[in-house]
Amino acid sequence: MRITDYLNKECIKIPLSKTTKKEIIEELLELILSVNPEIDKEKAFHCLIEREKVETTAIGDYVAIPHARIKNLAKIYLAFGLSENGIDCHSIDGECVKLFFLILFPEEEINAQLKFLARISRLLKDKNLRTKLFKCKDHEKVIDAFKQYEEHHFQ
Amino acid sequence: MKLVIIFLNQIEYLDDLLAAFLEIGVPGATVLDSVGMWHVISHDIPIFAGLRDAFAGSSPTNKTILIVTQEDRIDQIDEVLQDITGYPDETGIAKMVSLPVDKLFGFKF
Repeated sequence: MRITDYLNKECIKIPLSKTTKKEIIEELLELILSVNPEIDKEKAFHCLIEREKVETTAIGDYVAIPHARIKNLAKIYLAFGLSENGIDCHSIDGECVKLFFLILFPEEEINAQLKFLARISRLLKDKNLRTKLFKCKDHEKVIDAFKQYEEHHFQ
Repeated sequence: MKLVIIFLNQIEYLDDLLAAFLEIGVPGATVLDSVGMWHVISHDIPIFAGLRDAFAGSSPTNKTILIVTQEDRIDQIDEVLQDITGYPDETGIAKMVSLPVDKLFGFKF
């Protein structure tokens, strides 16, 4: 499973324009909906917010991975956004969040969700990759950064 | 000699199990408090917290039983485990493996 298989240019936003976690979740969800209009926005947004209530997805190191499991979803959807100034998301390390990865998972595919979250959270533990992502000015750079990193570390 | 490892998820069977092991002549066992991976990831690693409901039926803690025993006792241990817990037909209750032991130090049989 490679993150780059799920990243596409329409679902990458640099910089994010919103300034709260809830607004950014909506902003990133809109990116996914712009190319996948069949997804029920209200349901997806509700599931994402409910997941945030369980425990924060701001996992530290300037990273948040808001995500939700949604019934009858065809596949995994991913959107990425960079906040240049960072947003206070009650992160577990108290730092603001700059890198947002919003993911929608089919509810039935728990193993796929586990693998995906494990892979992306492990990738983002690498300071070099995060630093590269902070500096990205467009979607091509983001995709390149992930591609290079995954090719090098996960043969 | 063999090392038997039993992963007991339904810990209410532990007392009966140990008593039954004594009855069949198992001279001793080590019982460890343990926690399954699913419980740890969904409760201790925030990014996986959304999966708590998916693993809601799993036991928060389990017991790992270690037994060093003669090879000919393995089947008896398996039978006792089946009689008491209903494993392996009842899934999620227990699992058992046996491994060869090449040397023993400090054991008396």
